[in-house]
Amino acid sequence: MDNKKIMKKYIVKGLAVAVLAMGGACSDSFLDVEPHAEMLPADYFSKDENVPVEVVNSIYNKMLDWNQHSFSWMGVSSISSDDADKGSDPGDTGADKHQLDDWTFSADAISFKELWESNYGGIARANQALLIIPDMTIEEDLKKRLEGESRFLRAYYYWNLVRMFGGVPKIDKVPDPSNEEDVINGRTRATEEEIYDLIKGDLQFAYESLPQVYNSDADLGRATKGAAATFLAKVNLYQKNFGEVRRLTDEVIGYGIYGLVDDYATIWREVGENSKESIFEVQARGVTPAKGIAGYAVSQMVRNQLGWGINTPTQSLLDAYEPGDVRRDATIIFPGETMWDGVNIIANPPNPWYNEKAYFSKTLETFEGDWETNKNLRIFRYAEVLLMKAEAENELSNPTDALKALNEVRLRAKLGKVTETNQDALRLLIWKERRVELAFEHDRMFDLRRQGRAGDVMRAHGKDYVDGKHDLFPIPQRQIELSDGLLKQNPNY
Amino acid sequence: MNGGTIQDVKDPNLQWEVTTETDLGVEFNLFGNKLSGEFDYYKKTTTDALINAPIDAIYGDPNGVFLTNKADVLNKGFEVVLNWNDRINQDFNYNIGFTVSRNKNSIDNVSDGIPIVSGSLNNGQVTTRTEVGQPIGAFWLYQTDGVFNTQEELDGYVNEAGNPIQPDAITGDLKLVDTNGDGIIDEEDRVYCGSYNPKMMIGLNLGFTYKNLDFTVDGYGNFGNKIYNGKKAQVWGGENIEAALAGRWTADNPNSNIPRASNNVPVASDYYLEDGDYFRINNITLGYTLPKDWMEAVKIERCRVYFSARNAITWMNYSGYTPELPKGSLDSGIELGAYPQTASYFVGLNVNF
Repeated sequence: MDNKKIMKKYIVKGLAVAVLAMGGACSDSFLDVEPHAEMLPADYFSKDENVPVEVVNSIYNKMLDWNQHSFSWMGVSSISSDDADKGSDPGDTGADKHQLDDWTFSADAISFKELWESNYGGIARANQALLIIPDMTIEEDLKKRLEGESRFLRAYYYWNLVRMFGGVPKIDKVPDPSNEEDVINGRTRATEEEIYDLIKGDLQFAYESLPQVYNSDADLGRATKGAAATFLAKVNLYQKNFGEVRRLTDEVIGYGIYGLVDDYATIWREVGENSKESIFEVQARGVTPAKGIAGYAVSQMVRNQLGWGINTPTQSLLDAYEPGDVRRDATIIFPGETMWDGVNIIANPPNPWYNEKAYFSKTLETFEGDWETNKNLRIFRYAEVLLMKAEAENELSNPTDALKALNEVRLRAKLGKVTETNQDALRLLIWKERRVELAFEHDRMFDLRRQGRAGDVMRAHGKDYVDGKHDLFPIPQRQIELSDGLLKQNPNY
Repeated sequence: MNGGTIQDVKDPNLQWEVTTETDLGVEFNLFGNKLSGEFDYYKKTTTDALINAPIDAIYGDPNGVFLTNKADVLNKGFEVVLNWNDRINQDFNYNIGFTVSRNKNSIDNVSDGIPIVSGSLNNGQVTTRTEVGQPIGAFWLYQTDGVFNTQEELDGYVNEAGNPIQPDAITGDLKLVDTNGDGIIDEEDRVYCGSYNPKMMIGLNLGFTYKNLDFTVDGYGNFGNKIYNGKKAQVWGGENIEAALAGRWTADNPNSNIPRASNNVPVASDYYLEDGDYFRINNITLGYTLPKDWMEAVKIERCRVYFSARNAITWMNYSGYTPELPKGSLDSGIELGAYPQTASYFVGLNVNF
C-alpha cells in the first residue's frame, strides 16, 4: 500500500468539526480550510525504534482489559462449566453470571457483548499494526517479527470468538465505515471453517517469523515460535487433525527448552512466571505504573476477606481429583487453610471453596494494589503440550507414546502411572487428566464442547444444556440490531 | 510494555451539518412600554446532523460510537415572551416575565436507513431508538400490563397454539404485552413511548422593589418529557434501593403491582418510564439596603444584606432524584444513579465604601 493512501486515512478532520460546532448554516467553500496539522503520517511509526514495537505492544495490552480476560471471560469460559459456580452471595449476580451458571442467558447478556467487543477490539489493533508495519522504515527482520506477533495475537482473539460464537465476521484489514463493501462484510458471518483457516494462516505465519527465544529481558513474554506451534497444535486438536497435533507437539517437545516445573503449586506464583513450563502468558506488571489484568485476581478471591469470591470450584471438580493428587490443594482454597505465604483463610466465607490459581500474596510477592495485580495469566503451558500429544497418539492408535506423555504429567502430580491401552478408555482418562491439570485455566467449557459431550456432562451436572442451541453462545443482540438483522443469530436463540 | 495504536474510528467523509431555519417573529411594546413581548414561530431543519452514532464492534472503537453525518432532524415550534414592568409610585416597582415555548422534534431521515439503537443501561439492555418520524433518542420499550399476580394468571398467558407467551416468567414478574399479537415476546413488541425532549418549556420571573427592599424569584419547567428510571430497575450490590420496593410482589403480598425481587436483568420496559414534567424555582432573593443616613455616619456608601435560595423547590412527578438528565442526543433522560441537585442557601452582605 502506498503512503498517500495511508496519509489520507489518518488526516484528522478535527479542525473542520470544531468550526462547525460554532456556526450553523454555512457550507461555503471558503470555510473548507485545509487542516494545518496532519497527524500520524505513515512514517510517524518509524520515527524512533520504540514506536514500531509499541504499535504491536498495544495488541498485547488489550489482553489486560476488564472486558477481555476478567469478569465476562470467567462467566463464559469457566462459570458456565461443571468446574465452577458463580460464587459470591446469591444476590450478587454480576449482571448475568448466574444465568451463565444456569444456562438461562439470552442474547442480550452483557458478557457476550463485552467479549465480542473486546476480542474485535484486539483484532482491530492487530489489523491496524498489520496495515502500518509494511510501510515502516525498519529492519526487515524486525518487521517480520512484528508481523508475526500481530498475527499470533489476531489468531488468539479470533480463537476466542470462534469457540464462543462459531463463524463470525472475518475482518482481516482495517475496515472503512464509509465503504459499503466493508460495512456489509462487517455484518456478514464467515463460516467457522473460514475463521479457522484465518487462524491457522496467521499462526503458520507467526510460526515461520517468530524466534524460539528473545535475547533481551525487555522482550520477555512476547509470542515465540514455540507459542505459535503449541497454539497451532491446539487448533488442530479442535479440528481432530491428530497427525498435525502429533507433529507440532513433537516439535515443541524437541526444542528442549520447555519442561514441567517440579512443584505444580508454584506455577501460579510470581516465582513461576515465565518459567520453563510457560509457553505463553499474559504479562501483568505489579509495580508503578502497575498494569495488571483488571480485577482478574481480586474478583475471584475469598469473599468477606480478600475479594469478591466469584468463579468458585464445584463439588464435581473436587471429586475429579484422585487421592494424593497434589493439584487439588494447589487449585483450591479451603476455608480455614493457611496459604503458602502465611495468610489464614477465614473459617466461614459464603462459598465452600475458591480458585487458588488466582491467589496473590500481598506480602511475599510484588503487590501495589488489588486491581492491577502482578499476576500473569497462563494461556499455554508445557503440561498441555504433553496432554495434546497423549491425545493425538491415542487417536492415532499409539497407546505407548500416549501413556508416556500422560504419565509424565501424572508423575509431577504425584500420581501413579496409567496403563490403560484401550483407545476409548484411554481417551476418557486423558480428558479427565486435562480437566484436573487445566482447571480454572479457561479451558473446560470449550474442551467439553470439542469433545462432543458438553450436553451429556452438563445435564449430568444438573444444568439445562440444550443440544443444538448451547453448543454456541448467542451473538450479542446489540450487534444484530446495529446490522439491521444482516448479522444472523445462532440457532434457537 | 508501552503500547500505542489508533482506536477511535473517524468518518473519512465527515461533512458540515447544514441548518436551514425559517423564523417568523413579532416584537411589540404596549401601554407606554409597560408590556413588551415577542412571538416567534420557527422551523429548523438540520440535514446531515452530526451524531455520535453507535458503530459495529468490528471497528474496534473503544466507546463504540463515532461522529458521523447520521440523520436529518426537524425542530419546529413557537415561543412567546411577555414582560410587564410597572412603577406604582416612587416606592414601588415590579416586573413579571413569562416565557413559553413549544417544540416538536422529529427525524426526517436516517442516513443508512437503519434505526439507531442506543440508551444503554450498562447491563446489556438498551432503551432508545431513533428512526424516521420519531423524535431523536425516542424511548423504545416493551409494554407491561402489571405483574403476574397469581399462578392462574401466568398459566393463562398463552398464545393461540397454547404455548406460554412468556415461558421464562414466574409469578411476580412483569407481564410483557405481545403488542403485535404473534404469540411470542421479542423486539418486534417494543413500541415508542416518547422521549426526553420536552414538548413545552416555561420560564417565569417576578420581582419588585419597595423602598429599601428588593425581591426576585425565577423558575423554569419542562413538560411532556419522559425519563427512564434505570435506578429503579436495577441496582448493584450494596446500594440503597427505592423504599417503595418494600411493597413488592411476594407470595404473601400477591396483589402488589411492583415486580418481585429478582436477580435477573430487567428488560427495558415502560414500567420504568416516568413523566419528566417539572417546574423548578431556580432562584429566590430578598434584599434590604440599609438607609443611607445610617451609613454616612460610618462612611459607607451603600450596604445591602440579602438572603438567597438557589434551587430550593422542584415540583415533579418523577420518583428519582432529578428530572434534569442531559447526555448525548441519543441517550439523554436515563437515570442510572444521578446525584440529586443540591439546594443552596446564601446570606450575603454587599458593602461599597
